[in-house]
Amino acid sequence: MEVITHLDIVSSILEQIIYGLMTGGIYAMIGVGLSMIFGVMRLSNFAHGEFYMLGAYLTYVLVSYMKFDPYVLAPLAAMFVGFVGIIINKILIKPLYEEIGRARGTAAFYFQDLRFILMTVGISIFLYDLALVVWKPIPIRVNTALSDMIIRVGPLSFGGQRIVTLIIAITSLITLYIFLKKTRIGKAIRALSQNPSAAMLVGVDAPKIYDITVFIALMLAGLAGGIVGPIFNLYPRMGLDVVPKAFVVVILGGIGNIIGSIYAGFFLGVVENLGGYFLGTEYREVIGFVLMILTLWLRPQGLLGIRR
Amino acid sequence: MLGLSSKTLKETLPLYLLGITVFSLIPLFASEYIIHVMIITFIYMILASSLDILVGYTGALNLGHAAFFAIGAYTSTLLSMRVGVSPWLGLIIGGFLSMIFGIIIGVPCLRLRGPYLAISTLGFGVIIYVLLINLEWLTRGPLGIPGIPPLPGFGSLNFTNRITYYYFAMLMSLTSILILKLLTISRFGKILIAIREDEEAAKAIGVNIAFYRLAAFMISSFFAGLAGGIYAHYVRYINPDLSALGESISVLTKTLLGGFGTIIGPSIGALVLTFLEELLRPLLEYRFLIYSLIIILIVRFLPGGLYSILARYLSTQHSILAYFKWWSYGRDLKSK
Repeated sequence: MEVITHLDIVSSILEQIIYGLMTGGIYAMIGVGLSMIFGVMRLSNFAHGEFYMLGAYLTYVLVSYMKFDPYVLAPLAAMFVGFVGIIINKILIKPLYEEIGRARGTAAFYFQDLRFILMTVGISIFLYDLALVVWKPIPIRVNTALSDMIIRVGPLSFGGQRIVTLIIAITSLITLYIFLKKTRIGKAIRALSQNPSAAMLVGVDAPKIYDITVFIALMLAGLAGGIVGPIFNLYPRMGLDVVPKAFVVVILGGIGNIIGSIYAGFFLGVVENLGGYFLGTEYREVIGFVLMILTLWLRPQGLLGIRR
Repeated sequence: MLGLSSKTLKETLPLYLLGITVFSLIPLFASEYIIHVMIITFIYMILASSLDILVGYTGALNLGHAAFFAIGAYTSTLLSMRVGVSPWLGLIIGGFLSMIFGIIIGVPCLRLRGPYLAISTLGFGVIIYVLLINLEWLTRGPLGIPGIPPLPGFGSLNFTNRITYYYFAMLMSLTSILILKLLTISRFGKILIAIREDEEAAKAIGVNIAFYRLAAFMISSFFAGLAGGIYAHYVRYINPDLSALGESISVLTKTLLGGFGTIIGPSIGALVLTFLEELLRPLLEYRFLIYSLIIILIVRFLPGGLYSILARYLSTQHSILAYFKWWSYGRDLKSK
């Protein structure tokens, strides 16, 4: 009798870890984009979660019009989100950037930071309320052909859509990893986030790279939104709820460490699910923040980072 | 004595006198409804100005300010309902407990700047919100606490009377703003400004940066807690939504609209936005659309807030204007 309960606990912990990896994949996709934008543009994008929300709702709209599988339509919605991001960047962020660029190096830098944060907070609230007005605060579930499929591995069983989401998340993150490591643009992105002035000295076209970074980062966030539709309910607050987690991921991964935030995303997902399992789900939301405050306090260079 | 400059006092004094006169006369002709809105406005004035001493004077963006407000409201309520402490004492204890929370969040935040500080305070707000919802034995969870006792009266003063409460809230609000204003134009405020503008230089001349930053956190959270108590004993119903992110954003919008680093500006912002909100009540769904547009437009085009327009008429050599000049430093460089 006792043996069976032990097995039960082990298998449900295993299940929590797999679910954690799945949520972690989503966190990693959002967090890595946030980390990229922060690294390259020195911009903390509080509106990042809203693009995730936008990706989710656009996929839902596309699915209800075109009657295709959400997994096919999510990349399309993600591209669109990326373009929306570029437009917002051009209209609202760039002029601010140029205005402040003239004051760079002065004591005023501190406050300029605040101005950027407030701008993205404004954009975030705007997009959130727009979604609230357009789609109403009713939870929506996107259906896929995979919803009824159940995959059994030993004593564990998972919905097919969860596995597909995890696969898509991992695939897109590996693609991003290769892109950042191997291609010219990827190298320019990393160079800008490591040392902006040196990168510009060797001829990196910063404004162009900014646009590309914004596009890639927001596309990833939009894709993450698109592939959660079959798993979680969509609701207008989903972006606001996820953005603190994305920041937690950035901080755990080490500030300015783009690759680190990929690992940190998976880590947070697993810790959150296990913590929710042991402490009760109502405290799930708090775990990430406690981790973050502890990290900032004790290991500001991130969990994997090296102290500079 | 405190390093107060009489010039700044002389320049802001007319504003105070104007405020006191206008606010005292309002109950003579205004309807019950307007008086109610004004009481809420007074409470938000304290909240917005208390946020300003933190955001405007130390540059620490606090996205969880409403949590301090909720802590003050819950403390005062629970003390008076469960323990039987006089609500008057509850108000003060609420402020001090909120201040203790200010220290708890302020200490880990001492090392943080910009976005990290913002996200940590946001996290603090969420933690308080989750606790208020989940500690049901203490807070009754999402149902909230109804039937909070009013402030007990003295003699013929009865605080269930709306007009009496109006004058009480006005007194509290104007006093708080005056204290905050005096603090910021005193030596203390000048040191805060010095830290804000050049931390290294301030450190070099021997300023204890951690102390001043923590002090700003404590003062800010104390007044927020006090405002929470005044709110709880007026509305007499509270729920965890008081500490929600939306509340923090709405306070921040008021402060931003009025103008950071001016103390008086945020109270003007609170006045304008609270009435705007009442006018827009039929459009409740669009409330945050309007808030966000205000944030975006102010950040883009009027970083000094409404106060910067007002200050232009008050005096061109106004010391508070230094802040606005600092904002528009980039523009000045361009014109040169």
